[in-house]
Amino acid sequence: MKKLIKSYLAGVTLLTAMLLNGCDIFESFQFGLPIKLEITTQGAAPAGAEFFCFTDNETYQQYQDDIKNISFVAAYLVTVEHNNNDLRGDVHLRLYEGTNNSGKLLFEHVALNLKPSEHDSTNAYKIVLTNEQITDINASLAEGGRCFYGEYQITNVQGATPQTQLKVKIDALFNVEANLD
Amino acid sequence: MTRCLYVFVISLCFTISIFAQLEDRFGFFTESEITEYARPFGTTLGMAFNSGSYHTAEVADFFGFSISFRGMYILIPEDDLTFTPNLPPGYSAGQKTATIYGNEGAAYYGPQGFIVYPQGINESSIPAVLPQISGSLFGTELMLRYLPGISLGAGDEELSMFGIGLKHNIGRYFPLLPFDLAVQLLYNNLEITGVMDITAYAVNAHASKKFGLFTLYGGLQYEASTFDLEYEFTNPSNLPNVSAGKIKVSIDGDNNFRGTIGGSVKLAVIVLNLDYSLGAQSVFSGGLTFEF
Repeated sequence: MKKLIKSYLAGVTLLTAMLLNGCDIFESFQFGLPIKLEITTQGAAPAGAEFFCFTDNETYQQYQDDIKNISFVAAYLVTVEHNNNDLRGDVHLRLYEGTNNSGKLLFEHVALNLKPSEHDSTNAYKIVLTNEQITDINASLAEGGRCFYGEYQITNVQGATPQTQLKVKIDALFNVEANLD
Repeated sequence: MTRCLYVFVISLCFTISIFAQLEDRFGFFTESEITEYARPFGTTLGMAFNSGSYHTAEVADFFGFSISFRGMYILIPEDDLTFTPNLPPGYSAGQKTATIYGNEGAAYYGPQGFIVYPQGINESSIPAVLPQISGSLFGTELMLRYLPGISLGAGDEELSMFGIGLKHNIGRYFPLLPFDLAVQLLYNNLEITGVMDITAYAVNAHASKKFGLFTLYGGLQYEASTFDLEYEFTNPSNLPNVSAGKIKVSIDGDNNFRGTIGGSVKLAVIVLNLDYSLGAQSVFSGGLTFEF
């Protein structure tokens, strides 16, 4: 009987060793990381800017020591609040490396004759970037860029008044690949 | 990735690192969504625990004892690789996302911004091994699967497993029956304190017929499993009106009925067997038994 119990325990030990030394089921983990950037503007020439850092994001913080790769997936522009239905113009979106506009310009996207009031959360404006622009963003991320500065500006403005207030949001999605121990 | 070189030992596999990694994935889900993501995993555990409990309906008339290792290869059906999430109003789930066994997690855009789902482990089959011992007396067999509490490292988590099966050869009451016939009850439980608790039940009737060294066997089984899970919801999508924090949820596996057919060969005290079960997931099961 003792021999059998010893055999059983030996088997369990062997299987444990195989498991602990041989399992590499999950080596890496990919997930989507949404980032929001809100910009507020006021006046007859709407323009505003804000920066964000990945390091402020709790999900990013959880994996930051194990991240292998981050890449851009998609972005949308949403009007969160406004007090002027007639506001219209050419919307310029610029993204710079760093926390101000002295960093490298990664892209400038222009949406001609856009009416912000038409693009609330139920009808977000998709920011379609060129392959070159996406490559520039991903290159910056690969080089360790973790803070980005976004500018929002409307030119050829129609319908604006000094009292015009506008709050917009850029929803961006990044793909993160993290190593798992 | 050196995939599939691992041995997924059900009674031992939940090491702290694996659990940390599963928790990474679970952390994306609210209580209402985790069920569809994790259910196939619960079903697999139920399939594994409720497999390999017999290789013959014969039970020693006086006394018998055996020690065995059961290997299983569980095939994950296509339906268990993806699911359609229950998204808030304004979102469209045109594309399915991965379950725990699937590959790519999807992202959906709508009024609340992006809602993201994690990838799965991208596996369509899971191997498992279970050790067990059995003793029989007067046509009744008691099967035990046991693992004492094992600390899983720095945390408070401790893994323990217990399984019991009771089988009776009812064929002994029908001497004219040309084959052996038995009924069996199974209960298995695996617990990681504070993380998960899996319980599987089954009742089956099985029959076998000897042809020299070879035995043909088969059976029908009703089974169920419950998968209680505790994890930390991290709210990576920044969903409004939802708070990050601990979530406890109980998930029923899809286990219900299964049919099994197989064969075994007995050479002195060694029995080798192989069978196939068709149920919520399909299982190939093989065993090496030292029978006395």
